[in-house]
Amino acid sequence: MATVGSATFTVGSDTGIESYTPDVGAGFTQEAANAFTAINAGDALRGNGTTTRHARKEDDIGDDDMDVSADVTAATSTARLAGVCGRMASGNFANMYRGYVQGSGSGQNDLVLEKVVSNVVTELAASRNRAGESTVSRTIKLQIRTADKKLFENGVEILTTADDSLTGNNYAGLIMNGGTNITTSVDNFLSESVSGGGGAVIPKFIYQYRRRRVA
Amino acid sequence: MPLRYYISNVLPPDPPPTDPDVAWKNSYRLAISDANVNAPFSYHFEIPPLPDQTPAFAWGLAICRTTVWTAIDADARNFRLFQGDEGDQETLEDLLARLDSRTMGALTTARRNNIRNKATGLGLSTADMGNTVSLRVILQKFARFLRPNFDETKFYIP
Repeated sequence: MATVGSATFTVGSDTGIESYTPDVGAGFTQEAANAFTAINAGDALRGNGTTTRHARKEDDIGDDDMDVSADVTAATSTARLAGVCGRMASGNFANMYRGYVQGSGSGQNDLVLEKVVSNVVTELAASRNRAGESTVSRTIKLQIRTADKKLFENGVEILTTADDSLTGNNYAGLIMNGGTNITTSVDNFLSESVSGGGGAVIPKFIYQYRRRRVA
Repeated sequence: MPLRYYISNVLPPDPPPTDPDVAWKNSYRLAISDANVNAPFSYHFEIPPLPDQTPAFAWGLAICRTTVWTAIDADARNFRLFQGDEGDQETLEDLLARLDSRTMGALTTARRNNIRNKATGLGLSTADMGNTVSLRVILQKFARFLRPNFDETKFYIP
């Protein structure tokens, strides 16, 4: 694996996502104006409003196989969600695989894996009513390969699908329905290529050094 | 938690809810997804698409894992494929082994007829669902009607 893009969303003052300079790689494009803000106090990205929105990191990963991960939280309301997207198309938000944590009421959470093809959303797999607050941070990773797409939580495989109806898109990003507070958030976004090619690839020890400095 | 296969109706995306704090089910999914299961509940769907990405069939295949099946079984849109003969298998390996070990002839007449009637209703031929056919082959017949290269060893819940 090779790092193509990363973003810790650490800022000195609240910053709109398109004005935010990621730690590694190109900036983000958001689906709608003012959809996301990097919050100084929360040291994470917040979604603005109650509509599900996406943002794409503009690094060409160089292949449509990729790993995309982030630390995510979601408020307990069932409309709140936060996650990552892979095989995103360049120039539109109509095509992607996406995996996210979703609020499921107090004391529990949902994990969901979907595809979006020409704006048509299909649920592929889900794990519902899981014990544990959705507001607790977890690292989710969307692993995209030709043979399968898997969603991991804290390193453990939770969901899988053999669907491969979406191919040829080399971008990654994030998804959020944030409400209006930092309870729903995305942090430590990371996109990685499988083959080691594409984007602003840097040695892993330099990436880890930068992350420790920021922390 | 045990695993089961279901045939389930495809549902279209819901219209947006009026309450912005309520989840919007804006996806094509199986009716299984809407079951009010008051317990941990996981599923994996097989919903093959048309070129325009709408579902190719009015039904799909699900593999599900939970301990509370009441709401799923109470919904007529969900059909428990092996009618209870699959037992309570916790792993995919054990479930497939169970299906390998059972034939249509080993089922009760009622269960066997339910499966064949379901196949007929979905447009599948039952000519090759005779009493000597294993339940694993029955699974393949339903699944490969949806997608010819379906591989049951890769259709699982981790």
